[in-house]
Amino acid sequence: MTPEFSLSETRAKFSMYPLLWAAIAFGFGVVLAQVSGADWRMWLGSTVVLGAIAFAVRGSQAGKYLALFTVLFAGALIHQFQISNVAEDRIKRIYDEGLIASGTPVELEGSLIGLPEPAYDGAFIRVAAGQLTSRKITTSDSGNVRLFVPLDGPEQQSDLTSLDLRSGTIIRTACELLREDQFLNPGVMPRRQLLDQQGIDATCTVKSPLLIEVVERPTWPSPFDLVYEQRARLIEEFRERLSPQAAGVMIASLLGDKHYLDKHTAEVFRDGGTFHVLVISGLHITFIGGLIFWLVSLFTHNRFTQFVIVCGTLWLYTLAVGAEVPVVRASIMFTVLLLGRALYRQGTLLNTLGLCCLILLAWRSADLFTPSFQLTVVSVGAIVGMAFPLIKKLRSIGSWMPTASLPFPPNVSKWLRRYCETLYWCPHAWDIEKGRQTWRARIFKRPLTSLSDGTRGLIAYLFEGVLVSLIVQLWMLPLLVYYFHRVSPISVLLNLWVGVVIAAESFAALLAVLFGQFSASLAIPFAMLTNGLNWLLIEVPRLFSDLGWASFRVPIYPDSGQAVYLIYFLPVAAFAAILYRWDPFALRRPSRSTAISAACIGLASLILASLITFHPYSAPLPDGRLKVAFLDVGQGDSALITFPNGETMLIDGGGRVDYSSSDDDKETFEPDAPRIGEMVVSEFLWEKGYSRIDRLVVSHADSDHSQGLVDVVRNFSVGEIFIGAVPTADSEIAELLGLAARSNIPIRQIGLGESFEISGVRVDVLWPPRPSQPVGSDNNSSLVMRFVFGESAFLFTGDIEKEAESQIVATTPLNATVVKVPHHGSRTSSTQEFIDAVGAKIAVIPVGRRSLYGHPHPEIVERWKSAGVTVKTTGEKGTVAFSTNGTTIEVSTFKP
Amino acid sequence: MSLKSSTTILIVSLLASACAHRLPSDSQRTRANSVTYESAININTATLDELQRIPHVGEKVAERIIEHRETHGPFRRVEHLMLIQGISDKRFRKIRPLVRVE
Repeated sequence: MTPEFSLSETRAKFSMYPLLWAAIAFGFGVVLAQVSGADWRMWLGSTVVLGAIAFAVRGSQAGKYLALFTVLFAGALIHQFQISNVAEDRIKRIYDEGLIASGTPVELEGSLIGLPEPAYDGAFIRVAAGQLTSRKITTSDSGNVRLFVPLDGPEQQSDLTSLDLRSGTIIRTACELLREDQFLNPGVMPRRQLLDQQGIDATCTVKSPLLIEVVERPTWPSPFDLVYEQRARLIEEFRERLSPQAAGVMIASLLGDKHYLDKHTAEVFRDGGTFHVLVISGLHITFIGGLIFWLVSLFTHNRFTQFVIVCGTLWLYTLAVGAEVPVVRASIMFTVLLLGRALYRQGTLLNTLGLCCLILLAWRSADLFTPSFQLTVVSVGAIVGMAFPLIKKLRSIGSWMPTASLPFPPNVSKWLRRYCETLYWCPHAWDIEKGRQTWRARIFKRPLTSLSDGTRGLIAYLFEGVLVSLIVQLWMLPLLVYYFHRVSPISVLLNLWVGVVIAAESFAALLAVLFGQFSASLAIPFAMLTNGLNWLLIEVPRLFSDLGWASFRVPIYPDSGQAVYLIYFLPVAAFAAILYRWDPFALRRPSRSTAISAACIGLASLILASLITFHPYSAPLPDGRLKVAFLDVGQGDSALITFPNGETMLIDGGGRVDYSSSDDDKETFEPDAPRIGEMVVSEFLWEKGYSRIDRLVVSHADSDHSQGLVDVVRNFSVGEIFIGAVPTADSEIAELLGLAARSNIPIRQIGLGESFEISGVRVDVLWPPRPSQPVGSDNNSSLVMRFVFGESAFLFTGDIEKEAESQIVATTPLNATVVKVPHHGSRTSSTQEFIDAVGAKIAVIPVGRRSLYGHPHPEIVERWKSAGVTVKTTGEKGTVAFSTNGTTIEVSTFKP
Repeated sequence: MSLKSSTTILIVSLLASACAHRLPSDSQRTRANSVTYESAININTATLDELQRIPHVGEKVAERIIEHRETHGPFRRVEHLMLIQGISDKRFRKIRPLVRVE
């Protein structure tokens, strides 16, 4: 073999999908810039120098690698430039630098982006800021702000309507802009990061539409208003004609407004791993784009006209559904794909994917680190790089007929060949082919069973669907575990089900709206069909939700163990590459060594997949120390205790306070809002690597203590539940107790005088005395527990008030090193005698950053401090964690 | 009916329904309840006692109104009373005729 020959061979291989390699290099550049944080000028210099050298030696092998490195440095340059060049007047910067404190009243002036987006309990308004007045000083500003206007009556609704807000209207409103992180615990996504991903600088709730003034109306109405209006109208139509659940699903999946989704529906979709269909994503854009393309291709065959019409319509739709980043991303991808077709440049799909990634990263490089971008790229990559080529090969094996280019039958094992022939071999096609040729041949096909053309087609279609779904799940496994802590084997099947049913439901819903324009009664059958399909959509996945293996939650490995989520991709990608190169018609079968290495790679993927799924080493090893972490759950309590032998106990799980006030008189609709138990407490436990909580303690029935435990019971395996006073039947923990009963978790009532030992730690129960009658949610019947380990003691007090305090002080010694201040530092509790009796060194107040009740009361904080106690509040410090060996205590807080 | 013509009908009817506008609501609705009385309390000059004469405003809320006035300057509109913790949209609607800013 001559050197020239080998060179040209490499060249051919290299240029099959150059843009994919460029995109990968660009991505590495972005990571490099993020990690190193070097100045963008340095990257600019490297890019220019390397680019010049690469240009000088172009055509040579070295030139190609240099070009790749140039792209890498260009990626670093663009990323560094984007993150370091935030305009000085951006609201984001003003708040981050503390020029205006988050939560102080300001007057904001700016122009509307789009129309107000309706939600079930108000409206969201996006404003491009222009001016900000704070403390009598007005400055000009830039950045996007999301306002929420609660509307709970027709009066407010009509006030907002009469403002006649359109895109471009300049409004002024007094509000308290918020830009701050909440729930400062490890594992909880910082809110500012989330806002940055959504391109929003700050948010606020405008108490009333009366606070909004119109300063100036646009001289020319925006042509896009029509699009936004139609969207708002369709939302109204859906809500009017369909059941609340069906309307929620349709509004989310077709119109991109998630605010009408109800909690149970959303839960079913999350459990089944199919929530992505409720978020407008690549799937929708592909479906809708494909549909428009099909319609357009009925009328014209001019590829350029097709491109213009399809992309024009698609971008209008993108705009109408709010033009959020993931939708824009999907539309860019679709446009690139179609442009390739219009220009007769259909390269391999992998190359197109590379081009898309390059464009998307150049547009918003920081997206590389967002789950949404990663999930999109990985799933699309899995489909075009692994699923499609594999299906193409299987088809070619099954349907092979002798041709000039493929004269010999596929050279594969017998079982694979027979399997593919069962799915793809069509005897009629061969009959026709035989009649057309001048030669004659007999070929031997042995499908496992003979099927009619229709059945075979259907089965092949199903098989391909499952295969694509399986491959996508295989690739997404580490991402789904890392970001969502969920493994859903059932989603391989449910995705197909949900995809088909939701498409049918969408057509039915659109027909209902269409016919509703002519007559309301004409729409009824279609509305009923939609509701029926929606019922199927939700009830069928629910059948599986009780099966343990169908979908389960998993923790992640802490610290350096997280490398496993990246390493997993190596064998999987290698496996995909082997499949990609495999030629079923090659005259020589793959050599033995190739087969062995493929088997090893497959085995390695399997091992890594089970390491991720079953997380055998994720929980921290016991180190003989007693650890107590008080979580920042806003207003509410939650603390994790880790015993010296590694056993865990969770006291309370946080929750929202306003939860129970409104659910009695309203309709059955319960919105899908983020919950503390899931978003804060569960995330914290997963981040620590736990999947099991040995003991759960409910101090008392208030929702800011007990509500979050419902999610903990749902997401973790729980050993036992401790409860103080027996709650009344209609109390707020009924849901928790019902769930525990269904999951066969024993519930144990504990009370005054009880004492037990867990791994060398003595647990004394100091309150409440055992009541003979069930009591309601009463602060004074909170569980009070003391944990004594060597010389250190921790005292947990729930929400007890003066009455309980004085009785406890009178009956038992309760000295402790660390105390949880009763009732969030309210004035109802922490009497001087109680503080003296405890004699603590450190007092922790679990409380929100901005408490509705004014907790902690300054007087109480002062009272603890003047007794010589160090006071730490979770609202200020985030997680407050203690670790003790029995003699000395180490304290650490999330925020220094 | 051929596929092509039925598709055309579908598209045309879709477009027709999209263009069928509803009548816009009367945006220039007069605000009957924005009339203020002569005796209305000026929230920019009122003392602590005077503020408490407004129904639904207690000592705490009155204190907050004065504190807000001191740190953020006089109220430009009566609606800005809603920036005070304790004055909700519902409560404000009740007291609106009884307060003024100048």
